[in-house]
Amino acid sequence: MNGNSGMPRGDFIVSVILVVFSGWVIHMSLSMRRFGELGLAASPGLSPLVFAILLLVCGLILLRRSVAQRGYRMAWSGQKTAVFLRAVETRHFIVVLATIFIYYLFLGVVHFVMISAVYVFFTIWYFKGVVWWKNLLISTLSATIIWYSFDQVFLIPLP
Amino acid sequence: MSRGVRVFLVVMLVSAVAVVSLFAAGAREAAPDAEWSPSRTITIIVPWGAGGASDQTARVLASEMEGILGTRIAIVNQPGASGSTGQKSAFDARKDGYTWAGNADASVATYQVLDYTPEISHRDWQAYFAIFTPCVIAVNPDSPITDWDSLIEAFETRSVDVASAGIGAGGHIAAEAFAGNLGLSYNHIPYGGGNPAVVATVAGETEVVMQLSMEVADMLRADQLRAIAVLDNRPLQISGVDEIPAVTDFAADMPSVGFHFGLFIPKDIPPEAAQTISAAFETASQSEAVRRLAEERGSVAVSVQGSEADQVMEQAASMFGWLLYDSGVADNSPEQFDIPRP
Amino acid sequence: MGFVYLIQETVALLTPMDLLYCFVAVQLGIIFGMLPGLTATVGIAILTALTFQWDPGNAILVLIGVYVGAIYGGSRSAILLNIPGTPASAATCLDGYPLSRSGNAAQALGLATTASFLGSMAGLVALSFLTPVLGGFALEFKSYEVFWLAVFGVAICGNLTAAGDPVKGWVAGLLGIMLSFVGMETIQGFRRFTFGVSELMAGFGIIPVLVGTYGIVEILSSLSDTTPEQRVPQIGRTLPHLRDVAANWVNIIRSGVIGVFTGVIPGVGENIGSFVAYDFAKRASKHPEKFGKGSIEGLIASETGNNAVVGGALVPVLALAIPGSPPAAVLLAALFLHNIRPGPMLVIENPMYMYRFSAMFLLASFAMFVLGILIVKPLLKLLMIRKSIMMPIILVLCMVGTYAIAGRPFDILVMIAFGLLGYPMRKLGYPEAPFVLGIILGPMVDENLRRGMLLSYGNPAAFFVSPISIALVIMTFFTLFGRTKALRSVFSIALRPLRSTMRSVGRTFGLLRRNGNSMPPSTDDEDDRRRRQSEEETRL
Repeated sequence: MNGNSGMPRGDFIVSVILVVFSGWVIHMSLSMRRFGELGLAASPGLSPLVFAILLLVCGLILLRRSVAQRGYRMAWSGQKTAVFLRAVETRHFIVVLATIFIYYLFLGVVHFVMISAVYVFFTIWYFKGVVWWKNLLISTLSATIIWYSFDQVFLIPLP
Repeated sequence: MSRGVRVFLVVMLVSAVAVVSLFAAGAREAAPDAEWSPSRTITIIVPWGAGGASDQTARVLASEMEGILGTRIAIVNQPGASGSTGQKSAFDARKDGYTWAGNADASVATYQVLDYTPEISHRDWQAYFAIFTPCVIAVNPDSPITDWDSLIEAFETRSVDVASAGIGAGGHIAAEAFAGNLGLSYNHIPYGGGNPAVVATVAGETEVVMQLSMEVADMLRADQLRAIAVLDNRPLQISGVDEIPAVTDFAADMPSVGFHFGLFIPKDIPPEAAQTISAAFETASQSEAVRRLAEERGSVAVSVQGSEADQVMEQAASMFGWLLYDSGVADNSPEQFDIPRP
Repeated sequence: MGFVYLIQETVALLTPMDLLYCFVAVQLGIIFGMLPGLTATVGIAILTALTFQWDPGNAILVLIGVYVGAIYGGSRSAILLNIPGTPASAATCLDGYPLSRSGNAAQALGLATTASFLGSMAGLVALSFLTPVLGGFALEFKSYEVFWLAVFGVAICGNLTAAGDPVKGWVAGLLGIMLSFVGMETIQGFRRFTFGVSELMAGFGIIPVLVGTYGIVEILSSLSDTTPEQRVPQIGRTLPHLRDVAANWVNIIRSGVIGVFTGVIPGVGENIGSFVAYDFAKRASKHPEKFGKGSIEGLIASETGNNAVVGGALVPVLALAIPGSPPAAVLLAALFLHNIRPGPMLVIENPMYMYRFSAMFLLASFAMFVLGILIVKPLLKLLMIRKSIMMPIILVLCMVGTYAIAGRPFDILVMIAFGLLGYPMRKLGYPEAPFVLGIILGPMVDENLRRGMLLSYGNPAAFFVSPISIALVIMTFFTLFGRTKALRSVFSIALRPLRSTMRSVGRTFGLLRRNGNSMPPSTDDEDDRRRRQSEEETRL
């Protein structure tokens, strides 16, 4: 099992990203400002440099391993991409992410209880959790309870 | 509704009710005669970690002012970037008198020259100071430094490690002022906060620390540190410790380095709100709680606001700003912001 | 004599009102700990404000209760939902969640409660009897020592992975460290990787990162999962069998001691203690392969470790007025505000206070145990709630918890971004635990490395002087190149590319025949490596 994660292609892509990323960090950290007479030894770039080199080593190990398992052979086909895009998982993922993001954007604009209740209601509705009136009850109650206990009792700021 | 949901809701409700009934006792009635009386919770953003000097001052003031203003005051710690991000978010909040900041004069006065928040001037804030704490030169008890003469000798003959809470922090500014005034040099060792810097000196990793009296008071009381002088023109009296001599006894033209802690509220809030807050602060800053905090932490209780506080801020900006700029720490010249040389 | 005092003070605390305060506080702490984002630090800070006007005795009791409860409470959501309520419980996820997935949630919750209680007892021993001794030990940890401790933490990243692929563990850990460098650093106040964005100046907080990588990822993956939800029937009893606990006595003592020591060291808190305890348990275990797949040993180690830290972290608070962990810092401030002055003078001015404080801690630990066992059954009901109802509510709590830390909308954005980063990481087998550990360790390594350089005028030899440094260097070395099975394989993985490169270099120069006999004569060391290598290959 060791050294073989069973996903050489994923490893290959990640390792390339890692190598590029750590190279960029090495470049950045070498060009960071140096203070005092100690130069690099006390400069803000020292630790990023050291850890970027370690990351580079890990990236290269991963790269070497995935190349040995022929992870560079990418089998992109239009058909596969289409299947992926049309899959229910993908749609769900995008919907969940989009609702989270919309929720975030409205926080602070609309009152917390309202936007939270709407968010919970929508998500439960979309994933067909329960019948609508139970849903309404759950979403408003949970949003109100959270708002009350945070904002009113513990004085924790809410967005 | 499934049984699970019901149980979950019941558990949440029960705990909420229990909690409310226990803490509701803390709520108070509104003061009737104030022109502007806050109708909702006031938030104090403390841009430093919980437990620090800014935090403690803000908490004591908040608990006193809650009663006077008749509203609850929530404290939010928003540490990071030497307090500048938290200070900025207090500034960016709606200027209705409901968002304050809890910080120190020297920090707020140097955010511009340090290029942290170049767009916000210290003149945009109305300060309310309750605690003044001077910087104290303290050494590890095992150090050969025992008095002023041996201190100067040590700085002249070898490279002394001086701990501080970081660039631009009290201990750093004090060390810069000390060394700059006497033409000495030292090895600056920055830490993540006042407390770690003091602890490092107690542990012997560094020899000297010039942090605030507030931060060294207890270590002095326990003989874990030895005080040499206070960077002020008056001697400092900390209960349980011999009187600490004023630095001006040894070097007459040494500047005083001390921090004022208190509240910062943007000047643009409605004037009637400022009036109410000012009156509330006046009472709170003279309370027993503030006095006790000052006494315990080896500092001085003050009550400075209005134009007097503006003056303190101007002085801090000019002194600390130029010190930091001259020593090459600050990128922006104080001149750029019309800050005169001290 | 100390024991008698402790009993005396405990008996004095056994009044109905004190008990009520204690139980309510611990329950509150557990709730705070369970909710993603709300940590012990926030809990204590909030309660400090609410109990400000109280009588100091009750107020401190409440704060200790919240601290103990919150560190323990984080394990509840870690086990049930794979979302650690506090960073201290991230190591608990590794084994707690698999146990709960396999229908052993009750057992896992019960064991974690017992382990937390035993960890607290280890902390109590340290707090009430060893405070003067350990206080001195805390001061031994200076920049060099803390640096090596952090390096040791980085080294164990490779061990915090279930997939048996240490490289991915290290990649995750190193990525975490990299991201922790964003923002203004403490030594020179230089802004790294901020690209002029002022919000980035304060860096990525540990809480938004934690909630993002665990909470958001869990929400994203369980909501987008289309396989029909199956409720795992939960079996097993809540109160653990005595033999399960007894069989782990070495583990418990080891984790307790590790926890206490991690707690005592200033600035190193429960977040690191549980990881170190977990790593030690894994390496000492007869079944390291079970770790990360539902190992009882791992669960016990992590939970004993993080609760032992609480007691340990309070030791320097009392002895030196130095906090051993972030929550302890707030507790220390609260003590000052209530006119209690801990520190070296405490033993002289108020010698009994140490025992009163310990008695409060003892009471809180008992309350934690009792409440912990009692709420297992209601908590199990959470598993029966459909994910489509549960997850949106959890998301609201994640948002609230993340925002509550600093009241900054930017943190919510950070949380979502880390969720987006964490999702592919999880799919590709990069574990979250070392990633979170990396975020914690990054500033520690950076700050202490450069401060050490400043102290020694750039001479790296100073890093190898003190005995503690050397001990930590040796421990790190053994972690990386140890002889246990898992680690030996790490070693061979690390060397494989080197060997292959050498081989290909040899081939290029025409030096290497198929049997490789024209390779230069190898040293013993090389032979050893090669032997391990072939062992490795036969196993594959």
